Amino acid sequence: MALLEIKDLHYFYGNVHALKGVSLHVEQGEIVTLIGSNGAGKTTLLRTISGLNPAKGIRGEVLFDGKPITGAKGHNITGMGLAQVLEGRHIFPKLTVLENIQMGAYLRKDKAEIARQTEELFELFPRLKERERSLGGTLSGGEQEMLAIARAMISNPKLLLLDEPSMGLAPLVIHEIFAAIRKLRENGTTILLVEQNSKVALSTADRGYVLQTGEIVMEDTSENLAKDPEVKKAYLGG
Amino acid sequence: MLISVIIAGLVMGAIYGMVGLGFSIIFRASGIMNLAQSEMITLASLIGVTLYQTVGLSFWLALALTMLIMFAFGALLQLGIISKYSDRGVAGIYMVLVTLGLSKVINGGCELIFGANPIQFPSVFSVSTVNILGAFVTPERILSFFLSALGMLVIHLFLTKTKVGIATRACASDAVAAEACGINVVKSNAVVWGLASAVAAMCGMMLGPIYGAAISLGSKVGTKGMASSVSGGFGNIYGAMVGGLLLGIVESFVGGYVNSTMKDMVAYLLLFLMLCVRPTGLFNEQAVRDV
Repeated sequence: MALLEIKDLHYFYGNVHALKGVSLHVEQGEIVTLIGSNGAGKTTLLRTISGLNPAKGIRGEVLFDGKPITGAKGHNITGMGLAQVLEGRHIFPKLTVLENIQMGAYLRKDKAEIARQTEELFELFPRLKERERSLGGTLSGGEQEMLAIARAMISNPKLLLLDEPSMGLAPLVIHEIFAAIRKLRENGTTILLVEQNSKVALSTADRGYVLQTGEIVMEDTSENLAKDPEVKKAYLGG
Repeated sequence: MLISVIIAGLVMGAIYGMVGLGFSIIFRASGIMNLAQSEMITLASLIGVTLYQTVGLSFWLALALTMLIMFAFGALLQLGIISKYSDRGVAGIYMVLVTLGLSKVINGGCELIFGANPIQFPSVFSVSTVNILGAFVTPERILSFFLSALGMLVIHLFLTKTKVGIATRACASDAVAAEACGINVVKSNAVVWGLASAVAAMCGMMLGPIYGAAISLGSKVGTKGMASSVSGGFGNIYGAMVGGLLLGIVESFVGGYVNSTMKDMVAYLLLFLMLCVRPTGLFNEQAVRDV
């Protein structure tokens, strides 16, 4: 059974038909990527899965861990073990790094275990440890991305949705973030990765889907997608 | 004379600050200018005097119970009415009309239930005045000052040290991210409205012995509180307190040394001029936040 299964999912913003029957699945332990250009519906898809988009625009079905979660509230979906790193990071600028992480663990009660896992995340992102008392808004873009990932991971998710983690970051920092993403998978987290930087996304993921104006137009292993002439032309710069 | 003017200014200023705090915490959490906040004070003072005088509870028990009742009332207002409008995407500025309507309904309701005549609020202490460095002050006023300080401290600790309090700040700064963290944003806002209403309850119980409990109480102090919170930087709870003290002291000095009918005019004129110099209030958080 797939950890995440989406069947014929549509999303409407009023009259705008943003997702037009998307079907995909993510198996336990995989990194699956969703590539596509600006406005293809990638963020809409993630936010529809995670319950952050108004439920009334949804048609179709989302199964998480075998259970239907279509239309459930965002905070409840997070509680089921599905965490999301939002596009643009969305860290809390007036909260410290530690408070940001504490908010990620909002639904958990096991203080000692939270503290232990926070230390583990600090090992993954040592720069966050150095800045644990700083306000989120004073962090650099790369550090904010790390904080956003740490804040999502502290909820102990079975599935992590990552929305454009490379956005606006320097190549070296992107490298660092993606090394951390691979490590998260090694530790057992399943990941659905949305990226505009298709090159780094395909080199990290096992499989991929290509989303174009609200529809899946291609689906294959990352290796095959990276070799595909059309993908090369449209998303990998020739 | 000087000392009694300063003390009177500090006392009223602290109360104005608490009134302003009620406006500020709701604004910072949901971007709504809650015009019903003043009438929450009216309602609270009437509930409080009923519990204290008619039911015969001790002042402290009546205070605690009034705060509890008002917390529940405020939280239910948010869950039952305000959140329904926000869900439909009604923006902050239009919400003003909703809260204006609420304020009239609450005020009218108070008149229906408690009558239009002011109710004498019995004194809390048996001594009528206390001598502080030669100035004679009613103990109720001294109590108001310390209650305000205590209230401020408790709210500060709640917002900075507790998980639920920090979560209200998270929701205020980014509701979508808070939801993604697993925080129920609607519930968190209900806590904020409850808190603001409990603050209003405290104000009602402090103002009762000073002005008497009456349906006009809210409008008498509401604008002062709003002015306090705006001049301190709307949305900044510490700013509200500083703004309140500023307003109280200026008002007291003008009333004491110039003319008591001019005190409101001069106080507001000063705030007006201050906004000229600092257009976003003394301590505006929003300006810092939007880096």
